[in-house]
Amino acid sequence: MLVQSRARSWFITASSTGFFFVAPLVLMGKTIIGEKGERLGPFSELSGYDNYTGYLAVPLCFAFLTNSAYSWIGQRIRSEQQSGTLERLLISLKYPISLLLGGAWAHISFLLFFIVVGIASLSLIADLDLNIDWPAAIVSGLLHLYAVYGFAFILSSLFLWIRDAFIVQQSISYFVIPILAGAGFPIAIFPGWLQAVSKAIPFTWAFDVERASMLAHTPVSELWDEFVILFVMSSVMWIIGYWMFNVTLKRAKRTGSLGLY
Amino acid sequence: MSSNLAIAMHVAKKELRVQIGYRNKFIADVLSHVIGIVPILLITLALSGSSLNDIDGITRANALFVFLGYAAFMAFGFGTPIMIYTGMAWGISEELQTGTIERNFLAPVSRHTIVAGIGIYYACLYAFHVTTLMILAFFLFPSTAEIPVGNLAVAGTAALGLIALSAGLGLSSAAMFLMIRDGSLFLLFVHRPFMILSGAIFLIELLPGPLKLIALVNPVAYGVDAFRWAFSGHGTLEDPWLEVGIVWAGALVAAIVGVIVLGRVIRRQSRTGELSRI
Repeated sequence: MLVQSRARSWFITASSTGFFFVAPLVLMGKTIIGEKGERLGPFSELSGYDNYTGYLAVPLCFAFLTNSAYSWIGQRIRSEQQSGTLERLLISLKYPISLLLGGAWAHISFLLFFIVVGIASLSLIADLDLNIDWPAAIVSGLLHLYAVYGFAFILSSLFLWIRDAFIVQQSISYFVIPILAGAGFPIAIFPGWLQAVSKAIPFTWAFDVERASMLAHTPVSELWDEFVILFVMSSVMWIIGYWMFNVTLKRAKRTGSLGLY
Repeated sequence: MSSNLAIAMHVAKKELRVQIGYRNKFIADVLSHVIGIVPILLITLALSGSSLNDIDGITRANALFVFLGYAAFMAFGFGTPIMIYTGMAWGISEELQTGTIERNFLAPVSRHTIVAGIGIYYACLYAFHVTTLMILAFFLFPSTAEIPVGNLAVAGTAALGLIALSAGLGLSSAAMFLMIRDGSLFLLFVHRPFMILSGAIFLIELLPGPLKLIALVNPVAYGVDAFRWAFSGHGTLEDPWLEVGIVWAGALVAAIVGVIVLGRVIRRQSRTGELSRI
């Protein structure tokens, strides 16, 4: 948090990410559906939602803004490497995984702010017509973040292994979340085998429960099964992330590559 | 003149070698345009009510509109969804961080030539993106392969104009990067707004008032529209050749402003010693 407080401009830029990345897609939705919803029928039939602007804006905002979690924690490790303080930190930490957990804890404190600002700024260009069940929305959001940090730990380990890990992490997260997990579309458009792949990704479930709780006012009781699936999948990612971090850290120490970046 | 060109080409080759050195980033830069279009096309499919197994005529028309706008925007290069740290300003930033910018500026040529050399590399990269996307378009939308020669001329000059505009703006953005030294602010004010202000994947008339006004004075919007007209026969703003003229006029203005601003910034920072501050 202290390091980040010196980079105030990053905070402003990250707050605007939701608008600049998602607004063109919401406007694309308006172009295709029509400003007054003239061609809404086929989409409504396919997705089960009439509110296409909210359907795009809510999950895409989560998708693009949580993307900063993947780079942020890893970049902090790289930054410690560059300033020569990583070794010092690792010597003083009883559990090296604190490096990831601490990074996540700092990040989560402003991520929620980014998401709220992102959705609010998008409502300036389109009526998102949100219909929120607050308890379900809060549980959905927290479970989504739980999945995000599990995935972030897996990707952050790459920074101890690959020199230009940032772009690898960007490409993986861009391929998995907006494409395979269907951040902006129902996975029903995929052929059967690809839908099965999609359902094995926690974010697919996260987007589903977010839409249900924030657009269709679906209560917790009706989303219970999805919540359990999302929790279990995210927990698996945390375990994999913990294991990968330890493996890559041990390898970096053994090969002497900890000081190379 | 020829020695300037030779040095610019030398810098461009050096930039290529530097980028290849970052193997993963280079692969991503080369493929990013294709990865970037996939979710946009999938959203287009869903909004049109189609699936990957069943694509109707209306969906094809919507997808073509989006695809052509995206391809034209790739010629401009700024503000693409996943190529964040790419472009002349980032090239300068890397030189600063590695401490090689002063060494490069010691070469006995205009400093603009050095920066333009970095621009040549990115112009080639953007041209590659447009070309490969249009090859892909010929397979996905066979009608795009049957356009008249006149339309092809509009598409070609519009795409080249966008690349030239990108290079011109690259000079100004490099100057701005040297001044503010802050990648986040650079993203906020220079990089990100272009996607929304160009109408690359949507109709500009849907933008709210102030944004629409800015978009309508943005030459990129006209380049995108002319390119789209050339392959689909549908434009939304002005006569296609007038739009091409606007893009080239914008490129000329951007280049002149870029040369003047970059020259002043480099002279001032060389004098004050700011250039070596990172």
